[in-house]
Amino acid sequence: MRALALAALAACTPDIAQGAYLCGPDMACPDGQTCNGPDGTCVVASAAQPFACDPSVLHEPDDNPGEAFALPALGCPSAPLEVMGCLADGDPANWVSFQTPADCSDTELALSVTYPIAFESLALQLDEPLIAVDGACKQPPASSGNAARCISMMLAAGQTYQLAILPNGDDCAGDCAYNRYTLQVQLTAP
Amino acid sequence: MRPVPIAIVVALASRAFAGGADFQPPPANDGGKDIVITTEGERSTRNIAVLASIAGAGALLGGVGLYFHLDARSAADQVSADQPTGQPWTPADQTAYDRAHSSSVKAAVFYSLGGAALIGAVVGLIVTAPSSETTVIHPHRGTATFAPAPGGAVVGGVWSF
Repeated sequence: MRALALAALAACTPDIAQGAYLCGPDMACPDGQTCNGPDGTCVVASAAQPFACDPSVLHEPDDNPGEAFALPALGCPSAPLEVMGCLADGDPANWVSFQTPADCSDTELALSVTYPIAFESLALQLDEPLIAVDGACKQPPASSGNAARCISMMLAAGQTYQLAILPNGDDCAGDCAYNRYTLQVQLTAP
Repeated sequence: MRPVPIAIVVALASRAFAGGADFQPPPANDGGKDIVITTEGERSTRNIAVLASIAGAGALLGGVGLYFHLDARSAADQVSADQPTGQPWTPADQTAYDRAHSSSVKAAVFYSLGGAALIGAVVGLIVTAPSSETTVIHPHRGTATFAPAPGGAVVGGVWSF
């Protein structure tokens, strides 16, 4: 009984194991913990590693529409195509291109980019000159540690489009001007 | 032979038998047995009121400390985790974390103040305890008195102290 009482008295300060939380916006973590770059979890400062882009998901140079990384051919309709990517520190944009099938009379594009909220937020922009910018997604991302932006619109058949993944602020005042993301592209027949 | 009625009179002029007095059997003494009278002191109403006020304040401060303690524990429970939660650390979590820390500090302060007040009350209780008063009477050897009375006699004793 006395032990219980002592335990009750002692348990008034938060006890948070490392890795218990994902990093919040602007790499927010509990006091005494730091955002771990590789997996975006909160760990003790001594165990934290810096953020780094996985070289296998980089397609540089891809900083302008002319250097856009070409996505595989899409069907009509297509299965969702997921492409992993990463905006490194100071990278102005990642451009990708895709082509709508020529045999689709009308094609509806469903684009989304999902990224951890811990680092810089991202935006989508379709084509240059601008056709569309992103908006909120109808479905929230599966993990509450992620954010997502979406574009949904009708596209003409047999056309090539360029899509930019851009930095969109919230970059820890420049200290987290980078992020990794998953781009999902799907063409559907309306 | 007819028995002679005898009256024994012992008179003691003393406050020994006032309320609260402790009368002890007198020890042996050359001049007679000592009479020891112990009178317990009484705590004044003001003294009791002051000590009760200090103790009450201590209990009140302890109660405030308990409030902050429970608040700190509630906030700490909101964010404490020993397993991966899959949740990001949000401003709301930080607010709860800060509240836990702040209330914990306040609880410690109020517990300390309350404890100090209670200890002060106990110390005051001891320090201001009224002393008992002991009076020792060394009676001189008594003088027997004998006076004839109608139908008998009166036998008594006279002591001085």
